[in-house]
Amino acid sequence: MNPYRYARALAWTGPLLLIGTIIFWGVLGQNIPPYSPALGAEEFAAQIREHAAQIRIGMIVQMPISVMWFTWSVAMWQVMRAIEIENGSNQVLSLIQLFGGAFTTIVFILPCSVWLAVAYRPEVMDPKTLQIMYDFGWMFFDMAYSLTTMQLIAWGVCMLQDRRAKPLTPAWAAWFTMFVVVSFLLLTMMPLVYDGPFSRSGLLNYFYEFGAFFIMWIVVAAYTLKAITRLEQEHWATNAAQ
Amino acid sequence: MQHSNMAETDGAAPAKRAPAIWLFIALDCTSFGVFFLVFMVQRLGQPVLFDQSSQHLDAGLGFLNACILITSSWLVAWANIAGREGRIDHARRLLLAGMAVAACFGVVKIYEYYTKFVAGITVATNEFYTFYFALTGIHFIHYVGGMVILGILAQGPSRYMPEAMAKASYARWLEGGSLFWHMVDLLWIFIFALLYLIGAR
Repeated sequence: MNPYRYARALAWTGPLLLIGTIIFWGVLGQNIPPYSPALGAEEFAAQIREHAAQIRIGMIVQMPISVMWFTWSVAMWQVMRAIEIENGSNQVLSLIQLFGGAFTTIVFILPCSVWLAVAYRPEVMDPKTLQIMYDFGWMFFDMAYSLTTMQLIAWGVCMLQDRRAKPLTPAWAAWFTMFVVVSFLLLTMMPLVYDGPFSRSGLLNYFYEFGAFFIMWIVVAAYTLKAITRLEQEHWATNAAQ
Repeated sequence: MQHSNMAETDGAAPAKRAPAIWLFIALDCTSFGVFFLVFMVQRLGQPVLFDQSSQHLDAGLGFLNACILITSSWLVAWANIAGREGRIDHARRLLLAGMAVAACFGVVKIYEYYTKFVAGITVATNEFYTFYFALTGIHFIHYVGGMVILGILAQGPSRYMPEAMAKASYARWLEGGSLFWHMVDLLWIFIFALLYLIGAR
């Protein structure tokens, strides 16, 4: 049996989720950028009430599609497993990556449910309650970064271990990815400030961090698809008779 | 299937990939460059606040830390040369000396943070101090990471791999680790100039 059956479909769930996230989490969810923590509770509540319907639609769709982060992680796991088997069957990195992917899926889903609750009946809720719920969603979303960092460091290290003359993933892509997920450390500043570049909607902790994350997402998605094509070609070249 | 790709790959691949650490360093320096740029832009908006806050930093301690890291970097550079020449024990001693000197940086930095907290200055005091704690904090994380790398390198080549393979791998890691440590040193010089000197009287 082709060991890469389903792999291409799974690998496409990465770019699909990226597009879905931009539309449902980003545009409809009012997260480009998110509401500033510097807003007063009343002003914040007024914004939420005005956009409640679209935020609800955004989160209702974003929650189920977020599972694609996990299916995409399984595609990455298939590429990693191929490299690890060739290198002597130590499958620690692919295991870490897969668990990291599963946990990161929760980081997508749980905050969306919180923001959905914020947009559920904001007209009868106390503004301060709405604000703390919204803050909680963002604290979880931003500060659980170590799960994604763990996942993609494992992926990057594994890609660097590929001993092919032309590796499945070039070294620059592995280093770039590891750099982006290590730079999430900057988010440490997010819960300490209410305004400025380090806040959740600020220049560094939103535009820079999320910009880098989305570029990294495209890079990893593109090389996962390419790697699966090459692994399938290698498989059929050595198993042509089957 | 397991080793179908090995024949075409044995040989030059690891040597070819060693400079990839340069990419990580370039990206890290670029991101610090972005932080410095954002700092300078924010400073333009409130120069008096930034200048007044900067005067509360101890430039002497900042300079001392720059000297400490430069000395440590110099020792690590010598360790790298010794490692390349195959004098592994000498390289290990130099790495340990580099770490001992660099440990003073940590002591000075923690003392500085302590004096700030005692004076009631925190990350939320004003925007200058947000940057102060963010930039020095992220740098401190790099410093701790660098110390861990130096500590691992000071153990010498792996005792479990075949000797030739262990030495080749050690030489690569020593070069990469040294480069990272020099970056930690270089970044501090920029942070020192930016936070401690601009605005100081």
